[in-house]
Amino acid sequence: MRNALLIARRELRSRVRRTGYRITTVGGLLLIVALFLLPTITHAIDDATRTEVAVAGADPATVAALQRALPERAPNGKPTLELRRVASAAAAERLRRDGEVDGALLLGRVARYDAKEPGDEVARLRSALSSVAAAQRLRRRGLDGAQIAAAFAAPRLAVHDTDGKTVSSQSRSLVYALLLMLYMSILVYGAAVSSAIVQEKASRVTEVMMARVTPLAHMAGKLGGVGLAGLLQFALWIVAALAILAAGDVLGSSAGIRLADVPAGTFVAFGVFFVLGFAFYGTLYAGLSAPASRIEDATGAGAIPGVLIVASFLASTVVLGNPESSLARVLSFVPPLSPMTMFTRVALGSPPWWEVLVSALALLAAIGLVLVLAARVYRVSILSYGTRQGLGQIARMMLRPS
Amino acid sequence: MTLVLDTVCKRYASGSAVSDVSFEVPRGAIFGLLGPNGAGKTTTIRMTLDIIRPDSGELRWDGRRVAELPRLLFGYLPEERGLYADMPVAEQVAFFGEISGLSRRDAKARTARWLERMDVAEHVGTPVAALSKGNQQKVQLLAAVVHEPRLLILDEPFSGLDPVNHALLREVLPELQAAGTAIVLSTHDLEQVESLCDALALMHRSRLVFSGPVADLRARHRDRSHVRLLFRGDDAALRRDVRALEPDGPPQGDWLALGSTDGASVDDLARSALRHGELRELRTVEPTLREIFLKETAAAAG
Repeated sequence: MRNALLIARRELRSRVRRTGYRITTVGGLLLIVALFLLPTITHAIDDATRTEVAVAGADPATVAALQRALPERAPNGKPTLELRRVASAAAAERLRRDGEVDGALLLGRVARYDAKEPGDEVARLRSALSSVAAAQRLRRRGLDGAQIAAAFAAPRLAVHDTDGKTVSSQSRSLVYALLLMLYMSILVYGAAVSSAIVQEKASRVTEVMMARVTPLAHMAGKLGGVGLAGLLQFALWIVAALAILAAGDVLGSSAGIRLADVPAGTFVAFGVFFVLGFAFYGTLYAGLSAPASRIEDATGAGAIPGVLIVASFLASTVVLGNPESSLARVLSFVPPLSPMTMFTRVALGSPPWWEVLVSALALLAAIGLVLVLAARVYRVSILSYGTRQGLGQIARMMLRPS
Repeated sequence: MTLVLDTVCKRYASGSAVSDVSFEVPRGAIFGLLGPNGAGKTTTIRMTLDIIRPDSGELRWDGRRVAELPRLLFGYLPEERGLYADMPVAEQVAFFGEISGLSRRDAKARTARWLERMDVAEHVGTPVAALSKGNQQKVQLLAAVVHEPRLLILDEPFSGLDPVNHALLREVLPELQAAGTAIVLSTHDLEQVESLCDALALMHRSRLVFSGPVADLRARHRDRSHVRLLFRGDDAALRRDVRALEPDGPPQGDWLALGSTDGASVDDLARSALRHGELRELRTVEPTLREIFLKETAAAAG
C-alpha cells in the first residue's frame, strides 16, 4: 500500500510537471472563462442585431402603445425592435438614409414602412399596429381603458407538466458539455495509463521497480497517479467555474447559467462516475498494454477500450435524447457503458437512488473482475520484452494464471 | 549474513532457465556470478530479489526465505539501466530510497550524503535526461545503493562505464564491502572477477559448474598449468626426451618457444634442455581465468 502510494505520488508529480499537462489545464481554464463570458459577448451581438425604427406622424402615447405591443426582448433585456419617435416623415427618412435606424414607419391614413431590407420585423410591426389601431377604434366608440384591456386580455391557458421532469434546453446543453468532458477525460486518462506503463518499460525502470515492489502495487500506483492527475485538473476547472458562477450571482450579472440553477449533484456525479469509469478503463488499458515493449505496440492494445468508450458515448447520446425510456434504463446498468450512461441519467433528472446504486455496484463488480484479469497479465508480462503479444496470448494469461 | 541458494529450479515455457543450482555467498564477500549469455544468471538474480519465484528449491538470506524479507536489505543494479528521465536527480535517488523502505527524512539525508560521495551534488535539481552519460551512470548506481543494502546485486556494472566512473566504482565497492555489504557481481568480464572477487559461482546452460573461493577454482586447474621455455639447440633430441613438447608461440630469433602441457616436472625439463642446448627462460604458466572458464563451460557442455 505504501509503495503504491509512493508510485502514485511520483507519477502525479511527474505528470503535473509536464508542459502538455499545464497547457491542457490552462487551456481548459481559458475555455471555461470564455464560456461564461459568452453571455457578455452575445449582448454585444444582440445590440448589433437589434432593429431600430423611426416613427413619424404619431403622438408619443401612440408610439409608447406600439412599443408596448412589441414585447420581445433580447437576452440582454433590451427590446429586439425599438421605436424612436421623430417629428416628421422627412426626419425619419433622413435617419433611415444615414443608417441611424433600420427602417422608417410613417403613420397616417395609410401607413407606410420603408426599409432597405424589410425582414421579419414587418410581421411584428403589422401585428402591433393592428392591435393598437383596434384599441384606438374601441376608444373612439366610447369604451374606457379597463374595458379595452378586458377585451384584449388573453384567455387563460393553464399548462400542466404531467411528467414533472421537463428538462430545459439550457441544462440539457450543460449535461451534454459535461458528458463530452467525461468521455474525453476517460479516453485521455485511460490511454495515459497505457503510455505511463509502456514508457516505464521502454526506459527499463520496471526492472528496478520490480525488485522493490509487487506488480500489483506497481499497477495500482500507476493507475492512482494518472487518475489523480486527471481529478486534480477537473477540480481546478470546476472550482474556477463555480467561482465565476458565484461572482456572477453576487454581481447580479445576467450570465446564461446561474449557480442556483446547477444542481450540485451533477458535479458530485461527475466526480464519482469519472473515478469509476477511469478505474474500469484504466485497469483495462493497464492489463492490455503491459505486454507491449514499445509505445507503438501499445496502440493496438488500446483499440478495445477505445471502442468501448466510444460506444459508451453513443449510448449516452441515446439516453440524452430520452432519459426515461426503457432503452436508456437498460443502457445505464450495463457495466462498461454505465459510467457515462448513468451519469447522463443522473445529470438530467433523478433516477431512483436504488437504480444508481445497483448500476454502481455492477460497475464495481466489473472493475473487480478486470482488476484480477489485468493483474494476471501484468505479473506475467511486465518484465517481458521483445516478442509482441497478440490478444490470444493475453487472453491465455488472463484465463490461466501461472 | 549469507545468501544461500538451495537446489533452485526455474523453468519457462521455452525451457529450463535454472536447474538445481546451489551455492552460498559468504558474509561480506564480493562474489562473482559468471557464465556466458543465457547461462541463467539473470534468472538467478531475479529469484534472489524475489522478482520471480523459483519452481522448487529455496533462496535464503540469513536463514530466512528472501521473499519474506524487507526490500531494504537488497540493492539492485540491472544490466538494462533505467531511470525516470524527467525526474530531477535528488528527487529520483530519494524516491528509490523511499520505495526501498527508507522513511522520507532518512531517504533525503542519505541521498544528500551519497550525491556528495559520488561527486554529483551540483546536479541535485537537474532532470536525469539533461545529465552527461557518465553522471547518469552514477545516478543509476546511487539508486541501487542509497538505502545501503546488506546485499547488493550488480548485473554487469562495468559495462559502458567511462574510465572515471570505472575507477570510482572500483573504489566504492570495497568501501561498501568494508561497511558489511555482501556484493554479487554478475559479469562475463573475467578481469574484474580476478581482481575484485573473493568467491564465485560459474554457471553454464542453466546449471552450476563451480562455486567457491577463486583460489579453489585455480587449485582445481593447477594441473593445467604448463611449463614454457625458450630453448636453443637440438630440439629434436629434447622432444624425444620430453614427450608432448609443443611449439608455444613463434620463435624469437634462433630461440624456440616450447611448452609442455602434460605435467612434465620443471626439474626434468630443465635437465633435458641443458643436456641438448641452452635455456633462456623457463616458467610455469598458470591457466588464466579465461582459460578455466572456457574449459569449464566446454566440459559442462560435453
